[in-house]
Amino acid sequence: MYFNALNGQKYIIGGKYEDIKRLDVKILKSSRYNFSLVESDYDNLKKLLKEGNIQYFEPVAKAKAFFIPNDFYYSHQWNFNMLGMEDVWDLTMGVDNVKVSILDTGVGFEYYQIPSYEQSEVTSGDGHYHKADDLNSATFLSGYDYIHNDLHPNDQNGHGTHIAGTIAQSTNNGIGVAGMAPNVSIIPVQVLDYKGEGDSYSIAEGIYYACDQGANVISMSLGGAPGDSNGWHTVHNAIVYAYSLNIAVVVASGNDGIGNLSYPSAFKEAFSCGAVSFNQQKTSYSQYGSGLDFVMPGGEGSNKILQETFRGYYDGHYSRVDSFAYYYYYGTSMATPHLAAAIALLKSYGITNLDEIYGRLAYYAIDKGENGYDTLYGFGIPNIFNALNSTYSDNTPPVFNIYLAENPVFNGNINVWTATNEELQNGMPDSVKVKRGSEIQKYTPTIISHNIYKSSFSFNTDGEYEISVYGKDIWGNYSTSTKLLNLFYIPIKTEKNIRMDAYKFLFSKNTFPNECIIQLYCNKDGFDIEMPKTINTPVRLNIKLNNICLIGPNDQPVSYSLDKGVKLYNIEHNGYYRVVWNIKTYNIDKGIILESYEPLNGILSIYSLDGRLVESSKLINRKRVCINSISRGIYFIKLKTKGMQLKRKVSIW
Amino acid sequence: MVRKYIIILSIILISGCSLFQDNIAEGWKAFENGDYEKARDCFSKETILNANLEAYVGLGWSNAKLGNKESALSSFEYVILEDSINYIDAISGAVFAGSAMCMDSTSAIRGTYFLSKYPNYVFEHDTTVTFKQVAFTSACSYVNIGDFSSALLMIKIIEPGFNAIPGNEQGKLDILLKIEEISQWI
Repeated sequence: MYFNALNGQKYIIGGKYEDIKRLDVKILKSSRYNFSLVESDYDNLKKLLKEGNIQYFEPVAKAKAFFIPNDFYYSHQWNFNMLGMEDVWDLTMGVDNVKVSILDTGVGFEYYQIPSYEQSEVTSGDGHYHKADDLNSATFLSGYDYIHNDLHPNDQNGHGTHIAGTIAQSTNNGIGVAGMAPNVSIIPVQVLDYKGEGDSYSIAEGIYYACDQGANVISMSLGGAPGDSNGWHTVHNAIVYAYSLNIAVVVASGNDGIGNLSYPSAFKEAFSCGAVSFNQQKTSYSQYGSGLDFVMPGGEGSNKILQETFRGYYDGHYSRVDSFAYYYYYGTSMATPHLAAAIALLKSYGITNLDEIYGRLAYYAIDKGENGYDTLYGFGIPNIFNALNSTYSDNTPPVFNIYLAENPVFNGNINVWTATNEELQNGMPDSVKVKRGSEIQKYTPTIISHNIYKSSFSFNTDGEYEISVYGKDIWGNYSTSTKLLNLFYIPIKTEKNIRMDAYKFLFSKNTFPNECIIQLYCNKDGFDIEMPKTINTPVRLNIKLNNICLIGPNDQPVSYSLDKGVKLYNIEHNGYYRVVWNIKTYNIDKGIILESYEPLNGILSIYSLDGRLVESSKLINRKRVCINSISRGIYFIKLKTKGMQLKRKVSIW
Repeated sequence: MVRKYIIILSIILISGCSLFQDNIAEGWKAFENGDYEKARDCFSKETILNANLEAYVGLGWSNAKLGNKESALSSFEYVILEDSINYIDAISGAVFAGSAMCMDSTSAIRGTYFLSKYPNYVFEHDTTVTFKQVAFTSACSYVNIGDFSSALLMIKIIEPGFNAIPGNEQGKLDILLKIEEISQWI
């Protein structure tokens, strides 16, 4: 479940309206995309989920616009110079059948009477919303206002209008400033209110709406708290839906300046956009981290992003929606429409496949920070001209190499490192999955160096694990790689008492496969070794290989019969049994004593760590062997007898 | 007060450690015999009765062997805070526990410091834990924070003849491969 919420809170629940309306919840809104906004208590929803009446539920996440408005003053658009827009415009300024949907506070896009229910938020000399002067030539398509539930997503804040300007401001008209893709069409969708605040329900509705309206690109300069995915599941579903339709969803990384992206920017299906300043360095506020894709000009200090909008007041003053001017804003909110516009230009130029767009933007990006992808800049600042003008692409899938290392003391704590030969989408593999039987655990890797990623997992159950890495290169070529690992939780040097519940007991170590495996089967429900109780049916103990023995309650080895080299024990008495190595070691000064429960026959050899033979001797019916006069250090002892080989690491000190 | 004694006595009786024996000696004996649960009980009892730092070291190592990384690290950190000179087994333990807890920066730096002070370290209660295991664990942690140069230095403690160029991608892969190889036997 997602979290522990207070009772009576608003939740989004997944499921069809027809099913939900029969349930004991108060429906506030319902979407035709099979999710609803309801008021209920946590326990009730948990019960409904358990009973299968709803698909999921989550709290409504809060979102806000990532912008920092400031006093305005005029300057030229350094951001477009940085992106080489003059060269790009020689190739394309966009086409009107490419549609960019702006999910924001609305856009100043029409002359329309302010409805009564919005008059407490904005004001105007003639009681009407006005279209921003410098958006006169821009093409606007039908939109929707999910805040006021009407067909007029006019801006009450100014944020959305500023963003619309970066994308589609009327250009080459002799007034004001330019837009990056002035010939594309805009679908305004209001999902944030006059304060620049909204929720995940409206945002999800907005994404689905944009998809239905045929948007090619969705620009979202908004998000939640850094790293907090709570309440964004419904929005994630919507983004996945858009992605499946080849619609790019571009989302701001966030303005808190920390190494953790906000959601929904962190979803891998989204194009995550951070911000750089005039000198192409990451801005102090731009959130970064695994999953950041690109950076675009967002401005900082005396160099911010200039566009036309109106001054938004959301502290009790009314915003004047008939009073447009040119204002400097800065933030990842301002960077995001640059990336959305760049994608719209590629689509306008006939490069329509999302994977190819991603590949071109990444491959030709101006690399910033560390070589290749890094979490501060993603792939860097897209070179839009080269992305448009190039023909290079790649159809070879990436190769993943997996490296594993176990903590030498904490058995079962595994480092998993993955190296690849290509740049990957989102700058990292999609996932690392660890499979044991039917159980699958999924881990998200993080980057540690160029094309090298880490993840880790721990286990407490023995068995064979499949560690698989999945990912796509920047061109969308998918690949996976798997490594098998036999992992055994119980270290071989440990003597293990057979527990009450040990009806099946596996005991081994991956270092020397098949060298030491014990399986203990009980043909009833197990056996009790500590409580005096009659065993009705003898327990059959099946021990493969010979370097283990069973010590009975009398502290003597239990007799056995051999079946094709396998020891078979029949345990018929209650008591305290131990499975032990048949050889125990004791350190003495500059030496070691080997003591066996059973007579040893064969060749005993001692090797140094680098494989050098230190000593070797033949054993005939020996239960105790003393090795001395050996330099202090770590050695391997090997005992070879007919049908078995024991290899064991020992320290001599 | 009576209630407190009853609780302590109950712990003692349940744990299987004798009231009148040296808990620490008994704890280490159990530890060396691989009975980590008994060892933990003995050390735990001693920490309640005497707050002996050696008992915290033993408690940390017993928990380490039982896979309780948070508890182990907590014990080791306590000892290091109180006395980081006389209880070196707490520092080595903290390297392993820190790495298991993904606190790689701390673990790596602590491992480097430890090995500079005790280059021939062998944990006397489990001689399979030596400076090589500390170096190996530190190498893993250095890789996890992207410091392949320091990881190489740690590997060289284990295998002085090994070399790689940590500044290039092939060198980094060589280091990863070597760590995986060492992991097979260390």
